[in-house]
Amino acid sequence: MNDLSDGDDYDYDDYDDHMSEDGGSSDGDEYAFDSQGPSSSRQAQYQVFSEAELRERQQQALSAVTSVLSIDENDAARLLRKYKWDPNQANEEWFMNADSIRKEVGLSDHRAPPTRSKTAVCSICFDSHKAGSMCAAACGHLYCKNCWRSYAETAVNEGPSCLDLRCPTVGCGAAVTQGVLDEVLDKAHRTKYDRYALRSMVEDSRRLTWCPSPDCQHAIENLTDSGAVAIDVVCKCSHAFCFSCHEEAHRPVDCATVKRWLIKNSAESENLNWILAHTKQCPQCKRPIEKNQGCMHMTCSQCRHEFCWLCQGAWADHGERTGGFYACNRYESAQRAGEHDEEMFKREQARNALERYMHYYQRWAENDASRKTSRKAAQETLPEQLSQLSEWTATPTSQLNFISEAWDQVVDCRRILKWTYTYGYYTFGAVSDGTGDKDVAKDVLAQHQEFFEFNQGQAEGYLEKLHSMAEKNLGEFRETLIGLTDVTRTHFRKLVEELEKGLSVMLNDYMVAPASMEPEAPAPAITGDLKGEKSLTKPRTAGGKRTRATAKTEREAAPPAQARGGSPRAAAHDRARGQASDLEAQAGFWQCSSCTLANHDFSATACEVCETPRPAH
Amino acid sequence: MASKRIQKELQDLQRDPPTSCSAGPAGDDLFHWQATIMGPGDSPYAGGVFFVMIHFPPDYPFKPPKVQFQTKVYHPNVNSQGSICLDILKEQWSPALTISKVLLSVCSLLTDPNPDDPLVPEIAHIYKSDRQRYEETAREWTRKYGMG
Repeated sequence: MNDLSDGDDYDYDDYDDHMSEDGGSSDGDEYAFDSQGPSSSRQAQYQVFSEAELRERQQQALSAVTSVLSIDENDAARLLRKYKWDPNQANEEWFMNADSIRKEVGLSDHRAPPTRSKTAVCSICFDSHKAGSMCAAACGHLYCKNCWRSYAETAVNEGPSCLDLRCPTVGCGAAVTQGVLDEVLDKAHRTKYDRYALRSMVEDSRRLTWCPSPDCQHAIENLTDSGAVAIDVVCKCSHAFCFSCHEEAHRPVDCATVKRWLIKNSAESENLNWILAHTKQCPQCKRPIEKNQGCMHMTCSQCRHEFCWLCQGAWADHGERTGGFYACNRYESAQRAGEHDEEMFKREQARNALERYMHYYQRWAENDASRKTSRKAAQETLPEQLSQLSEWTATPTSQLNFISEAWDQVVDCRRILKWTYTYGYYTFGAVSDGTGDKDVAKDVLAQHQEFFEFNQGQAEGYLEKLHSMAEKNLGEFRETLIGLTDVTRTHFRKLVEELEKGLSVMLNDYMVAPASMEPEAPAPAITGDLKGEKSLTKPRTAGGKRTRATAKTEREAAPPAQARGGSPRAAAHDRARGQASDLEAQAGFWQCSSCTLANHDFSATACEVCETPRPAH
Repeated sequence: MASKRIQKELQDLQRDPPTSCSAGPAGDDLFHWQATIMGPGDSPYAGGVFFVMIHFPPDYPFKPPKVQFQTKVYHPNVNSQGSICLDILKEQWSPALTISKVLLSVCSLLTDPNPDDPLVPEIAHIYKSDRQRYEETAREWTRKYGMG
């Protein structure tokens, strides 16, 4: 382990050295990732639908069923809901076993004998009505229109379960037909019903989901087949969110971690405690349920899923072997085995580690706040500034796009950076407080943490540089800003991809890379790309040794194994800031547009390192 | 709608009272009834008279009535508060059901408890494992609380 960490030290310090001693603070080229690198397998493929497009899609699915099975649209909708809006499956199942499906969906053929008399008594209001003024579902059970209206409206007000409305006759179960609904529902309820119908398509289908942004009516279809991993998607309303968990986009952190983190952060902890103590989610539709009375046999009021309140298993699994219906042994044995206690224990421990949490939370929140202000700036003040700038410099606004791109990148990176703090919090927690990974040995963990924090510091450095640069908003920085936007984008993209692969893989890549180069050279952080290799020929200053020693002392003073996440990370942060301000302070260099190296030789026509021609000013 | 329908149900009950139960408004409030159920002869509740409180919601009959025992009953589906676990009073409610049908269902629940869906697991357990003990206790409770 020792030799590994030595090599590690060396590489770190070399970077430090360049950042602090080389004056130029602009050797971004060394860690620039290849933008042409292999594309991520997690690249999300998705499609955004507007409400009109959704209706069209729904109509297509309905026609696919109605044309094949010759049933009406209302019946087809019931059938499709049963099969998660998959017309092929609906058709196939129907042909396999039409009778039982008909019965289940409420499309049975059997009918009540038609009334011969001219009047009939409605068995809801007990009044007699003319038979002609009453209506019935396919089953023929007559009710007056007023009662039908109240019945249907009550159901619509109850929620999406109204889509499965059945004849009120006890034991009948026939589906209420479109005709009856059209006849009795007023416009407001009809709209509500139609909305539930549209929603049911998006909510039942595994591939579709609503954009969670308030007032956004778009739905997103995920075209990849990727279970429960985090998938960042961007809606037409520009809201970026995770397809799997609907939280804000959060790669490289996985969904479960985000959920834990957000629960932790929730300011409404009292509310949350109440919800945790008094409700459980329906195991099928995940709606929170409060059990206020009754037995353990629960039937979800919306999706009709039957389950056991104690163990949350399907009710169908309960019987003699779980100790009889009335005593759910499954829960008790699971509790003995510690399954149910674990989550509680973890939370309890996490509370004790409040201090450590605050460290990560503050940084998470700061980046979030910064992201929000940046986004506001990009959306509100930037267009005005751009038009001013275009007047002053007599440049068309289209050529100033690079500035808005830089801003978008800042906003994007702030978000990713924010989540790396969550990543750090959960990855490097002390094993004792339950937040750490138990499978990784302490020293390896410490090494990982140091490496992670180094990379995080690097990313932060780029971002700060880009952010301050973008804020300057100066025309002559065009090339620099474009280059920097690109470098930062690539760096963050790589960081996300590599963190998702895991730190061990990442660290291995990092350790292997220098072997192919001269021993003194620092390896590009992840993969040795062309730009990176070229930059290695750059002369080094003697300062390296000094900074290396400093870094070591720093580590000794605050061993990362204690996982306080303090000094090494903070130092990287300071370095990054210093780097950015150095850049501002020094006007005595020109920055290479390709590798962003600060060239001090103003007479040179090409970059000292990568030989890219110097742009004419 | 609700009061008209409740009135009709009341008339029906008076005209054609079901055997073994009776029901009517507890006071001036038409939405608040009291009912009595005679313990079914073929059950350990035989000979007892059980008082039941009925509350009609304003949107009755589209929402189920709230039905609760006032007399203590030893039964797997009735808890110490008198709450009854009966599907037609919850998700299986239909506006085509009436109070008289509900009371009949409660009667048959007294005769045939549903221990597989219990509200009081302890009683259900005894019902399943030691029927005699269950019947004795139920008879004792009926004597104590249902024959005052």
